[in-house]
Amino acid sequence: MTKQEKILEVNNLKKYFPIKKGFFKKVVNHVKAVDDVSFFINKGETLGLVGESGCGKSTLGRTLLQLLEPTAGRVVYNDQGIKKNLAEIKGDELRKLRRNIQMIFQDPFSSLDSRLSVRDIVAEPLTVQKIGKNREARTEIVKELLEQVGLNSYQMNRYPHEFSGGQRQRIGIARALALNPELIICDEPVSALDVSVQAQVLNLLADLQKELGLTYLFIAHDLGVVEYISDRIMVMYLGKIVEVADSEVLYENPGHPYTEALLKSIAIGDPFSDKKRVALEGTVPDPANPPLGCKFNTRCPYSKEVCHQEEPELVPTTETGSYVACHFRDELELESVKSRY
Amino acid sequence: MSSTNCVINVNNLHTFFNTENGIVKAVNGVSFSIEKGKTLGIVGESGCGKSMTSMSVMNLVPRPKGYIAEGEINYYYQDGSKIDLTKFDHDSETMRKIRGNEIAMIFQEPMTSLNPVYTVGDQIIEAIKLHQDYSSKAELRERAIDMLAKVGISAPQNRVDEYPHEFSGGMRQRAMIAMALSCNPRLLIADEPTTALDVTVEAQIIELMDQLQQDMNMSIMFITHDLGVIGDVADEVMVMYTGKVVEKSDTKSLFKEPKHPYTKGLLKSRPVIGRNQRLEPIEGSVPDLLHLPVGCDFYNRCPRAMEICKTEEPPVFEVADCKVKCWLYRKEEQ
Repeated sequence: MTKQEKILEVNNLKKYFPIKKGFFKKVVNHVKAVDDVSFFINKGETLGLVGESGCGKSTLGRTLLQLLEPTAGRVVYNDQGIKKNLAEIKGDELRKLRRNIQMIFQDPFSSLDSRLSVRDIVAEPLTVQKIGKNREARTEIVKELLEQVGLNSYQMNRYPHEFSGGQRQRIGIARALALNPELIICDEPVSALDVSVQAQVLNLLADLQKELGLTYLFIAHDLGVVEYISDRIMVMYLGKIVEVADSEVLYENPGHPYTEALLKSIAIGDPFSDKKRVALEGTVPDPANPPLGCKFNTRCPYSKEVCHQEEPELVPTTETGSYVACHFRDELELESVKSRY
Repeated sequence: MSSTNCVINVNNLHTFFNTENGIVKAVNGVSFSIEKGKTLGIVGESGCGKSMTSMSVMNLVPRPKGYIAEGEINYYYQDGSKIDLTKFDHDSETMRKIRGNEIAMIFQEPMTSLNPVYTVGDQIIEAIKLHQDYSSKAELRERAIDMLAKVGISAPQNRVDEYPHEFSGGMRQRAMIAMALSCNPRLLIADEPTTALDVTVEAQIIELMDQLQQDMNMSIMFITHDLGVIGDVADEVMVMYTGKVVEKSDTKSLFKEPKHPYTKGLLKSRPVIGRNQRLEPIEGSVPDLLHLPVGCDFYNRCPRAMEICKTEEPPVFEVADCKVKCWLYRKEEQ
């Protein structure tokens, strides 16, 4: 794994949102949406990011792109061998770098401007980045992009409301591809789609990756979808990464009790199975007042004294080499999801 | 069909909408019945008429554009007497008594279906007051607290005075269920009750519904697009496409041996953990309900389409206890 080229490296990234109170808007506390997160993405891979709503996965995606200014930490992007810390770059230079990192959003309805035609939506990044000689040249590029995502180029003068959810998501993908990016952050790109259409879009993303050598950070809450598309998977809980593992290892050999709980709560969807889905008790604690020690200690069935005092670090397990933030990473025998199917 | 065990029997239901561009047949000849204590799952993609079927049962089709054009919705009371709900006005006394007392509903979006300016307790009390005889305020409050406790909300005596925004998504859905069940309905319609929730919360809510169903011997009509959930909760499944039922069978046979090409497609396009196969999506998209094809509605997306499918709409064939609306199952093909 070390031989592969890292396209993005994130070190100790933090994003805190202040909670203000009173007339003078005094900052009384912080919501630690992303709390000291470090990871990397290899070139050409798909890194899945899962977690419950409010765990900070979308905030993390946006902070990487500098759509939200990080509170602390480094986001190092490998621009053809030259490492650049996105958190320090501003203005024109950042705008140029953004060509390489694009985003696909969850909601295909609100992420497209309803008053622009499809041609203008897909051409907008080209105009902003001054790519293409003139309008005609840009239109040609748009036509190609639309064909590439499985739409007809004659549809480019239509408006978003004339398209179905799946087609709109394809438009969003065409727009993200317009600048030939290397890395695409996909924020729940199929959550709003019907099952049959969801499969079409997932296959499209997989095909584009092969064809164009793209790298994805794939944010989702559906563990089935994430398993299907990802090479490695990162699990987040309350702003922290609790486990990073190869996709197969994660499902076969989960290292963190939270991962195990997530996997157990998936609908089995097989009326013949005698296994039952097991619900994780309790709810996610208030992110403004997280528990001391391990953040999962309020819901963890295995928690002991030490979990309430010390926060575990994200380090590899001896058995599988997955990165797990749990004091008992080498002692717990957690249930494999494969045994459930 | 008129066995005493039956709670509801819907027969040849047609729900139409008048629009500027013509009549949209949102529900087009749907029939089913649900027995006491059983769960019927209704699956389909957006726009297939699954929600409109449930709205028709509640007699809550949006007026004046929507109306029930044809069909019967027979509801069977506890004592076995039956009543056809389509014969009553949506705001008639009879309908009001049925809603809440006999049939209750929970919705997909727990935030928008709770009123943000009233406390959760007040909203539950409102439902109880409308439908049941409770004399004192204290008694009503007691009942609301009981209901919240029953759906697993901790410290219900404090929570009863909180507003919906103080509840998390899962708790709001629990509050909705508390409200729906406060009058002991015999049929619960759950319209995508877990779609907006996280997997962990979804598992909790489904566990809760399962347990309450057993306690109260209630029937459930469970509407969802998620085949995984259906496989876990339903006794019988009905697959809908363009307002019509394309397949109906018990859950086990549906998963073991799906018959309609659409059902097969749905099952294949769902990522299943550990399967490691490329997904096989259904090509194309759902046709516009205003411009349905002449023959089978699924013709242009069907991998097994034949000549006859293009010109003639298939009738419903019975194959080993399953009902399938597909020409592949006519006698000559077998």
